[in-house]
Amino acid sequence: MAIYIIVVSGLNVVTGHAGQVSLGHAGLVAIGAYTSAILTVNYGVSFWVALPVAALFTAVFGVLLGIPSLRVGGPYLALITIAFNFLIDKIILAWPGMTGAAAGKLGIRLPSIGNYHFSHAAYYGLIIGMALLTILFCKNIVTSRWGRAFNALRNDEILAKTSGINIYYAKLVAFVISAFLAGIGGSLWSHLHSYISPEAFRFDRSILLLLMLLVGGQRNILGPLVGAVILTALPEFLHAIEEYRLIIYGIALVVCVIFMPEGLTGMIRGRLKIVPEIPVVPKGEQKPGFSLEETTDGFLKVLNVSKYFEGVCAVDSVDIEVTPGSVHALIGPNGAGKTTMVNLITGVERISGGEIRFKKDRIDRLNPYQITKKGIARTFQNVRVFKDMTVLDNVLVGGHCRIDSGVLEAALRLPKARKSEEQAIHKAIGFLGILGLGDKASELVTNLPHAHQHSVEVARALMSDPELLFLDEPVAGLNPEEISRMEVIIKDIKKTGIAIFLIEHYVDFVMNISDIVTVFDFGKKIAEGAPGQVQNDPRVIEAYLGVEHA
Amino acid sequence: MSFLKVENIHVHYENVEALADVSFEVGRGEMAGIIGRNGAGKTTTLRTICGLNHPSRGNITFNGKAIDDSPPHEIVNLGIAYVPEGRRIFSDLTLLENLKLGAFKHYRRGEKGKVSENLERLFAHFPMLKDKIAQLAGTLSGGEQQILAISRALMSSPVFLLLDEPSMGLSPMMVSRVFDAILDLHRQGMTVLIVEQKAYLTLRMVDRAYVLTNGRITLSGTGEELLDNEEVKHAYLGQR
Repeated sequence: MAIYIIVVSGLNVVTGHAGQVSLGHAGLVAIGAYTSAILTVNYGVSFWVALPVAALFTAVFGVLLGIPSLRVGGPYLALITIAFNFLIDKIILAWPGMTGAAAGKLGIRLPSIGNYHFSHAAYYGLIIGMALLTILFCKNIVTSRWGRAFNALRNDEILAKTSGINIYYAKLVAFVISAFLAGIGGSLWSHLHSYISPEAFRFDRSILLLLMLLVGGQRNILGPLVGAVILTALPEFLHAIEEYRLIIYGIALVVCVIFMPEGLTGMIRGRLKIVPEIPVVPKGEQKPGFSLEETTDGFLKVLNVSKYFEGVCAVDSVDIEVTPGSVHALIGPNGAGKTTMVNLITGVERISGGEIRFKKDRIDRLNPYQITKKGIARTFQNVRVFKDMTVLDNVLVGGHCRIDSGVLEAALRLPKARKSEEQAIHKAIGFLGILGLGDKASELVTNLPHAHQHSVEVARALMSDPELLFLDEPVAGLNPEEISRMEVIIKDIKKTGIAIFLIEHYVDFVMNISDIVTVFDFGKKIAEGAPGQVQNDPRVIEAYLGVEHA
Repeated sequence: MSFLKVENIHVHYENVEALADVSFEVGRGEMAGIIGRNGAGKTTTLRTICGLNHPSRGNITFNGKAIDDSPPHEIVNLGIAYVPEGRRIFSDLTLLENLKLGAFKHYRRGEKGKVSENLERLFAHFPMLKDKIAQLAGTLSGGEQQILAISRALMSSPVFLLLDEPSMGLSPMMVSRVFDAILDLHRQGMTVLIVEQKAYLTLRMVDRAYVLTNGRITLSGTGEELLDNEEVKHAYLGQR
């Protein structure tokens, strides 16, 4: 039972948080169990060496299992993990010399230290201790920047990338953590039972593990504990109807998914209406510290860039140059290719021709997270937020690429990780205050009105310390008062040296804050210049402004 | 007699009260507007009318029939159409398929003629629709998706149109075209309830308007009356 807690806690990280459904976890547990058994029985290695070796060896398989997730997701990934489970089973059966094949492997002993031999009870105590440590370990991870990264990529991969998260790496990290814990579970299991056979690690066991997670509650640190306890205790009560066990599990799964998608812990939390913990807000006004690098020549240069979508030309041989510290607006009719242009620069879409340079480096072949790390951040037109996360967590995700604490540092809560986390929270709250959302930090982001969610995006983008900030319709849906506040905010951001590139239809706003305005129509640049100049350009009036605004 | 009557409704999200004792009316053939800050409860009001939220207290009647307990599809069948905020479209379907889905009601009743009539009228207002008819809706630009969302609602020939921020993300020229289209339908007898941040534009257009503040209606009057109101001028029109 306590072993299940360890394994399911790992599953919670990869499936609950990172959203990568694994139906092959029993295969990972098998690797841990057989590695430990073979090392101790065949080679006489001590349990204390075999345990970590088994965990690390299983973690390597976690990478293998994680690789497909870089390309596929959802049901396809789940199918691949099932195949992995079967594959491990076949390997065990095909290797009788080492594994004992179907007959199983005997003679695995309980550990000992010097002359002290663990009794069954003492060993069980050890396992419980390990389970508690695991819960602590997982709690530290999911409350760190890594946990946020996992939640972010589960919610919206594109948004996670442009917020500066290397989602490929993050997914592998989640799989490795999960496999490591499965390996520990497997090793502990083999020594507890002194005998292992392939039956214990088949696909139905993977389902049971997932069921424990669902019943207990995903993304809840105590979910695995509750699920493991209930689903191991249940069969004891149901001993009389042993043969219907699978049916009962099946019903439990369906009931769980339909009536309590957040599991028992989620349901209890809902009943008690537990308000999420509000982080300690540091006292005093916090001025965000923008990192400002001196750039002499060549900031953002878009050179002869084109983009075709299945033969349709969305952007046609465009040149744009953004100067450091300026506010540059892009306006034009709906469907002119404005958002596409921003997608090309931020790496969300690939260019079909031309080149894009940022501070002399070509960035048109980089991934969005690399571009963010270079100092380009963005918000989205059709408001993109990490839906089931709080306002504060949404903003903190933006700081991911500027915090360099590793997974291990986060898991062990080393002072460095704790300090950078505190600084990040401090900074995030500062930005929220500036954007008028200081009192909303602990709210679920989707509880905010649409327009304010866009402000959360602005704060998230600022967290990555950009030198160039793209805002796609920052004042859409704001009222006049909020628009004048956004004007002030943008001017303040500009004062810190950050260049701003914005798309907006609110003409007065654009003309008030921009240094230079570029006008698009049908994917082409039709005008560029100072606001006043552009506003009086007959082509712009005809294509965009209409007579009223001339 | 009022066409839509909202009487003393309260709406809660979990334990937060989003609307408190809200009452207002929209007469048949009228154009009404709701203005207010973000978070005041404007979207909630529209969602409650079309059955996506249900009031915990109070009544909503449409054309004399109580609708506060009805599911959304029944409300649509009564002739109410809702254009939600933020371009909700079916991205994987073509533009035409999106429009046809809007006319679901007509197809079920075998009114094919009505469908092509509506399509022609929309093409006249928004030639863009015709040009991109076979394109997947997800590949349209944000503003184009907004036009599509409004057009889809109009495909059901609603007698009552609920609009949530129709001008969001539209170029100045497109905003006038959208409002022209709405006014055109209004002149032919369609009742409209509109929620907009562009308060000046809205108040100039509507017969009657309500100001929503923190989930309560704090002011009401004709469009002109509110345009002249000092409080409104200051808070919503950005004049000092």
